[in-house]
Parts: sequence; C-alpha cells; structure tokens
Amino acid sequence: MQLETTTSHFRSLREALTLATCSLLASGQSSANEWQLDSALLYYSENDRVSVVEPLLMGRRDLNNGDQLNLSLVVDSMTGASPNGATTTNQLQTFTSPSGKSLHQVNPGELPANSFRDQSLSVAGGYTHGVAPLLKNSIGGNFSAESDYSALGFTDTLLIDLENRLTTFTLAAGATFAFVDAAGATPVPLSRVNSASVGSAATPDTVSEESSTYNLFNGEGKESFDLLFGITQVLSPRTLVQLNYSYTRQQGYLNDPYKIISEIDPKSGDTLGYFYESRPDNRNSHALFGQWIHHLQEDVVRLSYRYYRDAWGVNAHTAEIKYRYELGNDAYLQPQLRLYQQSAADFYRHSLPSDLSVNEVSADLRLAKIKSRTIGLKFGMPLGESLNGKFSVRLEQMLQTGDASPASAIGSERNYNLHPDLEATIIQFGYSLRY
Amino acid sequence: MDVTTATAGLWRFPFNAMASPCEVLLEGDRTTAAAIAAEAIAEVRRIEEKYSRYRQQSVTSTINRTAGSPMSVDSETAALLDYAATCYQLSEGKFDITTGPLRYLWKFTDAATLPDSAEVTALLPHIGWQRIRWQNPHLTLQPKMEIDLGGIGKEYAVDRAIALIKNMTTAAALVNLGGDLAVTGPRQHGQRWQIALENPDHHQNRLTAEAHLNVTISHGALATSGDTYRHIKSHGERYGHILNPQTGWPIRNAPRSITVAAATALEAGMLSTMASLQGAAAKAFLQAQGVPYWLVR
Repeated sequence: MQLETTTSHFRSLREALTLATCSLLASGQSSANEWQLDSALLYYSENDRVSVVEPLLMGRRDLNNGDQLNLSLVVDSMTGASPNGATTTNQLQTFTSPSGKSLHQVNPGELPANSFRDQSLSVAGGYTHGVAPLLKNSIGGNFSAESDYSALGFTDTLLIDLENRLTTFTLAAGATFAFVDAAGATPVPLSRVNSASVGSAATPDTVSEESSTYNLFNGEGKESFDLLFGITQVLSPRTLVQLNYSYTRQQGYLNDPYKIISEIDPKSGDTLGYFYESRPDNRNSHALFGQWIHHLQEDVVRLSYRYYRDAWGVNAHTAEIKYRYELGNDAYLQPQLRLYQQSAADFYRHSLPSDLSVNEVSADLRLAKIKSRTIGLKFGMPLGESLNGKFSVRLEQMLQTGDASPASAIGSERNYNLHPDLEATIIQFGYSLRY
Repeated sequence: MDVTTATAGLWRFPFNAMASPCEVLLEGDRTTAAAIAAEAIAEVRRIEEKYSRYRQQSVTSTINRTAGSPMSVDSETAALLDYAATCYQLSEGKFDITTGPLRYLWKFTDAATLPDSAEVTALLPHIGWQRIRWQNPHLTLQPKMEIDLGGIGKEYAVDRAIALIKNMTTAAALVNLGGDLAVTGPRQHGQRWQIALENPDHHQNRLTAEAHLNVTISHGALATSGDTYRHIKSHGERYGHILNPQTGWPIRNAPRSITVAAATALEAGMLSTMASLQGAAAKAFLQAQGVPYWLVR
C-alpha cells in the first residue's frame, strides 16, 4: 500500500469533473428547500372607466421529499366608473350611489355609470404531495374579500403520469362559497330602483365612496362547483399538447347588485324608470381548452383555443398566439395576440320596454354580444446577482366592441351609441427570484 | 435507531442501505444529533428507493421497462443522466451506465466460472451510452438496453446527505455508506477525522498484513473502487468485477483496491472508478489527477 501524489502523462480530468459534480449537486439543491418568489405589479386602465392597481406576491417552495408548497397574496385597488346597465337617453339622469351617500348626474347622450372605489384582498395556499411515483395530489384553499363580497374556496387536483411520463392526466374538483353584501343593501331582483330619477336636476355628482371595511360572510350566498379533466401529452422532444375540459355549476344569488336596467316607453324609447337586474339562480357552463406548444431551435410558439358555452346562452371563443423570440443571454421578446368573441345571454336586453313582462333580464354589457382583440408585447431578462432573478414587463392593449346600434333599439335610443367601444391598457412588471 | 457513542461527544447512528453497512456520525447533543441523523438517513433511503434497480417502482426500473420508446424524466434524474453523460465523455467511453445486461452473464460469486465469450459478444449491441438518445428531459433507450446508476448513486447519496446536514447544523458530521464517505468539515477544536480503510491484503493473508490502514481527513470525501470480494479466478488469472463496456470483459490488471480523496464523494468515487478502468495504467492516471490516493495491487 502506498501514498503517492506525483504527476504523469495522463490529462487531468479534475476540473471538468468538479464542474460536472457541482452542477449535479446544485441542481439537486435548487429544487429542494428553496423559495421561488414571484412578484408582479399590474396596472389596468380602461378609457374613462375602471382602473386597477394590483400587486401580487407568490411563493413556491420545493421540499426535500419532492412535495411542493404554494402561497399567494393579491391586493387589488380599483377606482373608476363601471356602466350600471341604464340605457343612454336624451334626458338628464340622476343616480344615487350604491351606499346612498351621494348623487351622480349623467348628461343626455352619455352612458350611465357607477363611480366606485374598492379594495380586494385574496390569499391562496396549496400543497402538492407525491402519493406514488407517478401520482401527485394537490390540495388548495383560497380566500378573498372585498367590502361587499367574500369568498372561500377549496380545490383538490390529482396528477397522474403514465409510466413514460409523456402523458399526464389531470383530475380536479373545486368548490367556492361566496357572499354578496352590496353597499346599502343587496337589492331584490326586478324591484324598482327608488334612488334614481329621470329628467330632474339634482346636486352635481361627487365620487361615491364605498365602505373600506370588509364585511365577511354576510349577505346573499352563491356557490360554485367545478370539475376539470385534462390531458397533457408530449408529442416529441419539441412539441407538447394540452387538452382540458371543465364544467362549472354556479347557484344562488348570481346578480350584480349594482346593475340596473332602464324601463323605456315602448314607442318613444324615453326612459321611464329603472329596475334592478334579475339573473337566473343557477348557471351551468362547459369549457374546452386546447393548447399547442412547439419549441423551434430556440424560440417557442404557443397556440391556444378555448370554447365556452353556458346555460344562459353565452357561447364564447378565445384564440391566442404567443411567439417567444430569444434574444440571447436568457432575454426574450414575446409578441402576443388574443381574439375573443361571445354571443349575448338569452336574457340580455339593453333596455326593457314597459309593455314587456320578463322574469329574467340584465343590461350588463358583460352579458352582451362582444368582440375583443388584445395585442401585447412582453420582454424578459435575467437580473440581479448571480443571475438568479428574472425581470419582465408586459404591455397589452385591448379593444372591445359591441353592438352600438342594435335592431331592437326603440325611438330615441336609435340616436345613441348603446354599446360604446372599450379600450384598456395593461402594464405588468414582474420580478422572480430564487433563494 | 441504533445509536452508540463512538467517542466522547460523537454520536454514531448505524443503519443498512444500498446493500451495505452505513453510518452517520454527528457531534453535539444526542437529541439534536438523532433528529439530524434521521433526516440524513431518510435522504439516503429516498435516493435508494428512487434509483435502485432492484425495486420495481424505482425510476431506474421504470426507465428500463420503457426501453424502446421515448420517455421524459424528472429534473433530479435528468441531472444524474447529464452527469453520467459527462463521465462517459471524460473517460472516453470507459465509464458507462449501460453495462447492466452484462451482469446476467458475469456473476462474481465464489463458485462462479467465466461466461461463454459468444454470449458476451451477443450482448454488446445492447450496451453503450452512445446508443442512447438523451436530450434533457427526453430519454430513449433502444430495446433491451438498461441503465444502472449504481456507479454514482451511493456517492450521490453521501454528498446529498452531507449537504442536508450542513443546512441543518454547524456541528461536524460524517456520512459513510459502505466505505464511501464524506465529512462536513473538521471536528470540534479542529480535530481531524480518523478513518480506518480496510486492507485487502488482510483479507488474503491475515497473518502478515494489517487489518486496517488509518487515514485522517478534515474536509472532503473518500471513496474506494475495488474487487476484494468480487472476482473470478480462472486458470490462475484474476477477473475483477469492473467491466469494459467496449469488450464486455473485465478490465485486465486493474488494482484490487483504489481509494481516492477529493472534495466530494462523487468526485472521489468517479476518480477511483476511472482509475480502475485504466487497468495497468491506474497509477499513472491517478498521478495525473493530482489527488491523494491509496492503491493496492
């Protein structure tokens, strides 16, 4: 037995071997006992309407045993005006704010809207556990609160890999229990709105304030139950496809307590008064989502399509394309385009002629026939010491159009744009970090 | 857990894993030491369960069952395959994780005889890392091919256990998996760790040779490659258990035992294995690496 440390003609492999060993041990560590933190600040602004500032914080921790813990926190701060459902008319319209504290006037020819200011908070947590080598179970819970809304949700997801790990099945079920407690009081559907008037002058408008205190688990209840079935299939080392089907059943108080509808004269089209909207007390919906992701030499193309239909008669199609162009050094530029269109709900009407009797009606523009297109550009690059941080910025512009002059418009309504275009700008800054 | 005090202030937690006697040695108070040792042992067992080719549910068994069609692997397995690919290149094809099928012919037990050379030749088309398509995370083995991460798994487990312990405590520790071992650093008061290496000469001749060779280390790892108990003797020639993937036959004139000291168990293990694969040139290879080594012919 001998101890020797001299040299000879063989080439030294130590440096290359040390490098390979470090990379093996580091890769093990990077996936265990480290936090991956994602933070983002989103700014959403509609022309003359709502603006939202939304900071978001998400944390993910991979544990030694392969399990994963997820936590997220989102705070929304919303201000602005949202169309209240009343039709545009040739008269002066006066609305009292939902809390009843202030008055708000809308000039002839303008689309009536409610001013509001609100904040929301939502927290979510999840834990993914490897049950067997090819089976993972993920449980999650979430809670969100606004001044007039609170909700508690639970999900359970099973991820089943086939032995070759090229096919993954996803089975998920979820339930959400929510409470709507509108400022003032939650209105009875189809009851007459007493706090609004047509044709009389009143005190000029002030921005209405909504309560900034959270009112938890009070008011009218609504529940939502979701089921999802999905398949993810690796087609080749460069191509992946994903297909999801989901079913949602909502039941309970599904109205928007701030949405009203104008009662109009069946001949002149002039506004006579207002009713609170009335939606069915349940909604079954089905959605089919398909995605195709293809890696070119360096760049990545993503195509997706979503079909949605529900028992309210809303049929929607969403198509999206994203192209990730690699700039080198882990920086990229990603142009994206999204096209969306939906049909109106069966009970959608821009206004209600006084000679018509209905059980269900809503003038919420979100239930109208809509088309929209969103173009965007995202830029990302590594940032920070040892390049373990990633910075990104995304800029999107959306244009939504509706039926400005529907055939059902009556009398004076024909003079106005009953569905003005909506333009929105979205800017999001993101930063993620591993430590 | 079986625990004994090895010396004052040092706790010893012996266990069996990877078909070898193993131990974790830890300084500090007993309760803390036991909790940390339990975590380290759990990590070793996790790696054993995940990569043992003797377990039906292991990743290795799953990969081997799926030979012939493409599959995709998790990130830890991908890192191990990347490492195996690098070692294949660095050793110019001598270190190869695909020699598994040869084990069906070469049984290194006391009564074993040499296999039929035609049978060995017939297996060669199913051996060779170059026949595998590996593009992280996508892996395709040709039909009848097998991989075996046994050549790196034990050392990987030592290094992972050491990293885990370092994350939990500053107290000094040693992890020993069947002779491949690493320490977190020097013992308290800067003491070095005393390691007794088994001397293969003692196994052969109990009268003349010392049973152990004492080595001391304060940092890093020691790993041994050898065939003290695993060889076939035929017509006066020793056939060691380290196989040449290019011929399907054992490496000729390989030293009986090579122990290497390096920063990590993975490096120490790979350098000792690569040295064995050099056969008669093992010593020259080790000298070129500039690492401390102990070689028995």
